[in-house]
Amino acid sequence: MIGPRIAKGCFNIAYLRSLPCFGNRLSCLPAENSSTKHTPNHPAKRTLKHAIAKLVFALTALMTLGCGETLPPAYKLNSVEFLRQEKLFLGSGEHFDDAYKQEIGSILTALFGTPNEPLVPALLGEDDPVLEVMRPENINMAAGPVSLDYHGKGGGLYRQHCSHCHGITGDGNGPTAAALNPYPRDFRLAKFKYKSTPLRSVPRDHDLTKVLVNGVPGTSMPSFGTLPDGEIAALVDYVKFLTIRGQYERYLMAELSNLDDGEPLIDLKLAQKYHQLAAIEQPTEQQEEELEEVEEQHLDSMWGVVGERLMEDAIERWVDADDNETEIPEAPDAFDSGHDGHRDFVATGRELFYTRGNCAQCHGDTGVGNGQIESFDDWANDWIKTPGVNPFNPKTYKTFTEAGALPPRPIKPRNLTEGRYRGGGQPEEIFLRITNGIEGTPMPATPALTSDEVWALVAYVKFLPYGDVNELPDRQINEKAIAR
Amino acid sequence: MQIRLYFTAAMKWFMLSVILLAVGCYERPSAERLEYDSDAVQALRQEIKSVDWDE
Repeated sequence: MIGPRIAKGCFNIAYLRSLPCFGNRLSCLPAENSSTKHTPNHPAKRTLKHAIAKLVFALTALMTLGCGETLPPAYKLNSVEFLRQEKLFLGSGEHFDDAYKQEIGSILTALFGTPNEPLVPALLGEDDPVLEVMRPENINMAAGPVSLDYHGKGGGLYRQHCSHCHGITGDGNGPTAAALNPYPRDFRLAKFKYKSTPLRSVPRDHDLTKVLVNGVPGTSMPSFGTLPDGEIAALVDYVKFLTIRGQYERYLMAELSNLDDGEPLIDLKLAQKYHQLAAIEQPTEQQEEELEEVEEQHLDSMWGVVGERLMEDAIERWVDADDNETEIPEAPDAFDSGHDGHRDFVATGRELFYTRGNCAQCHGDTGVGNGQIESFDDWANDWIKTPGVNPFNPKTYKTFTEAGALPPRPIKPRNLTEGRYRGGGQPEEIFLRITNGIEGTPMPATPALTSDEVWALVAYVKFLPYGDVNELPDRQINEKAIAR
Repeated sequence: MQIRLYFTAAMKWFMLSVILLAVGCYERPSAERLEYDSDAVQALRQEIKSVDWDE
């Protein structure tokens, strides 16, 4: 039966009319009987119908074209941080002068360029160590519009692979960000979770490369392992570029609270005056004194805003990132599952889990991650700690979400029984998580534990998804914990 | 009657277009574009170059 129907065509009007589901609803279609009042094939009416269709089409096309974005891509201002600084230092209802937004934009553009024409701020010239942190050829390969040259070498890698989640600015707020859980990383806080360096240190290139190559299991961050090494290196350098730029922007905003009303961050009029005075060939004694005074003020201002904040605070820590690598001591023999003392070793780890390791507080007594569940990560804490903001009441943080913040979500402790670890499931990787903690999250470092104790915890964590706790000695430890 | 029906059909398309455009053109609230003054950028670059950062 279906065959002839298809042969007739689904848009055979007589056939459609015969269907009970359409029935009289198809009154706009030609009637079966030409004696009815419907005469849609009349030329005048057909013309009217076509005219209306053309009008609708033209309006649609016009509206579509009208929505087109014509501005070139630009970095975004850290409006959330700007608002936070206003609320912290000026009180509610008061605002910094809007001219500061443009001044911050000008300083950042002078040093870091634009998304299409990025610059590496190498203030010391060719020997500047920042050129090792973010190599200009890599930055050029990763930034800019997506392109491919005659040699098959790609450009605009960041925009191709990363910006839809992490945003062009690296603010973790690309077009898809709000739909993801966890949210994509905002690089501007200069905090990275999965690394081989201690808390408050920046990651090594090796760590960032590993995240790009392996992805982050259990999140929307995929593996980019199929990209050539050169492209991965370019993306790593560009992530550092966006991080340094974003952190420096935050520093500039923090400086605003130290300024008098209308005082610029960098006084270009003062600089102009300094150059005018310095250009005088035979200055009077008064001019010499003035030059000395102006020079000091000018250099102080430049050093404070650019030298200290950019070179010392934002960049220097990246230069020697490799020196901070945490050493991983060899695991004790009992860590090997074939070793006779392995079960006791795992049991030691379990005891530490409930006692000195304090793991159960967040990961829960059975390790399913149901302990403390109302904590937030540092990316949310950064602004939800502003007075008057309650992360559980959207009305109190509406101004922040309007400024571009994503609604805060409590961070979930890992369910250790799933056997899925975001920072990698190798024992060495778990050792690093326990020893150093996880930056930006409530997971603390464990300086009070010896390396053997940490290894025992690693053994227990690796045992949880697959082992049966009843096989361990002193099973009453678990029973007591579960009874709690 | 017939014209009213045609009008209804056209309105359907029009409303559909409006709804689709409204959804497609909706932008989540986001941070402002970073504005800068090109002259100030040039002047700042000159100033940054003129300072001996080694000192």
